[in-house]
Amino acid sequence: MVREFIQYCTFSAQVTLGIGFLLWLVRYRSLPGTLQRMGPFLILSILTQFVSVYLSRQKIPNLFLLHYYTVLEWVCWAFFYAYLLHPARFFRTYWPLLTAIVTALLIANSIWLEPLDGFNSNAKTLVQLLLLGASISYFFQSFGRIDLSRPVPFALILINFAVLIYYSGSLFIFMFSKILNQYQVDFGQQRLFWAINGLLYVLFVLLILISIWKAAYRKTTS
Amino acid sequence: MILFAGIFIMLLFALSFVLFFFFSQRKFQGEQVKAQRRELDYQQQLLFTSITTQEQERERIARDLHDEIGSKLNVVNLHLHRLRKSQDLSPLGDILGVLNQTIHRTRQISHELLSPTLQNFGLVPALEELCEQYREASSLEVAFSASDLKKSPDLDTALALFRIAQECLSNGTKYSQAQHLVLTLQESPQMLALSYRDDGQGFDPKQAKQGLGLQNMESRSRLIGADLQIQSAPGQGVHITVQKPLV
Repeated sequence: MVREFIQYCTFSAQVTLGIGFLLWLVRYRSLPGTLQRMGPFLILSILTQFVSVYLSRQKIPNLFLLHYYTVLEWVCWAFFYAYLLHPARFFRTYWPLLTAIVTALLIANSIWLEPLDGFNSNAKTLVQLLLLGASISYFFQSFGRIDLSRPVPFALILINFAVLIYYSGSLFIFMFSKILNQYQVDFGQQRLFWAINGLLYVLFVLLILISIWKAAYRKTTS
Repeated sequence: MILFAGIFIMLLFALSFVLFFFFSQRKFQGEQVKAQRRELDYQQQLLFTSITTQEQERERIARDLHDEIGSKLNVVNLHLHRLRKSQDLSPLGDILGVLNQTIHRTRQISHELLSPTLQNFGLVPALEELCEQYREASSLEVAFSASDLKKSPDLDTALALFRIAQECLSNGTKYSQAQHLVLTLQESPQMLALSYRDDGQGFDPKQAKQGLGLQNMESRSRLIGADLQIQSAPGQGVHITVQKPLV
């Protein structure tokens, strides 16, 4: 039953991501600059989803994908937040440097510390914490400065809400994934965690889809 | 179990944070809208005051011209007609007297409209002269002190400060029942400050805000980018300061 639930979640996430990507592609010109920068993440997510499903159907271990995905996921979100958090002086000055250092650390981690055939708990935890930090920074930065009745600020808040909910919910799952595996915790129990992760991921991509929709079909005055 | 609790707590934190943000933001936005509406109402009130004051001033000038200048010129006209008919030069003294009065009154009206001292010599001599006039016209002690101004303010600022001082002294002599009125003008590197203080009966500034005089002062202060502060309470005199930033 849990296994089926995970499959439903995976399928729902793929469909939601697909719609989100199509919407992004079709309405690219009418999207504000910040949401145009969601494209790389959407493409990466769709590709990773399809490749992982394909590999698992072929009975090929797909855990190495998580390593690639973590690095690219970080780069995509860093690209997005570089634009979103640009007004803050700290981010304007240090974000590109932080992006480069973290990317190097993630790659080094996969080469020397956590091999490609296992979970990359260290790297994933670091990325999740950084993204949570960026999201919380955006909330603080925008407080009192945005009008939530307007579609674009609302869409951006929704994306940050998605980041906050998904990455905080799945933080402990990825943080302990390696340990659970090492201590050979019952697969059924482990699957339960991945079901929670799957559910949160569906919510995450759904919120991203809604925000793209909101911004793409907003009324513009020209 | 611990892991479930961890996930649950993190989700709870995230959700509470977002909900807190959302509701605080909405409340903040509501307050901002209210403040903007209040500011707009206030601006409209100031505009209304300004127009009303302008009309009152026109009315006063018209009355002065009609009652003071017009009537005196009529007297001169009558005397001249009589002179032409009778060839008697005795009313000539009266005519000259009335003409002198008319010239004097015309000068007074003109001075009331715009002080020539202010135009020709600047703010400090104009305020000195103003205090002198109030001292002579009332039985009150009107004191004035000023620091040396490194650079005299532009005419708009000087005129606004002069008018505010005029309003203060006028209110002080009319309503305050004070014994001492003190006007000071101070300049610091950052600020030019005009201050008025009296030891009269004072008033409740919240209630008096509706009055044209105070609204005019507020309006003039805003016009020159100055900050007007009114401190008063019943029985405790009045202290009004106008501070214009210089940098």
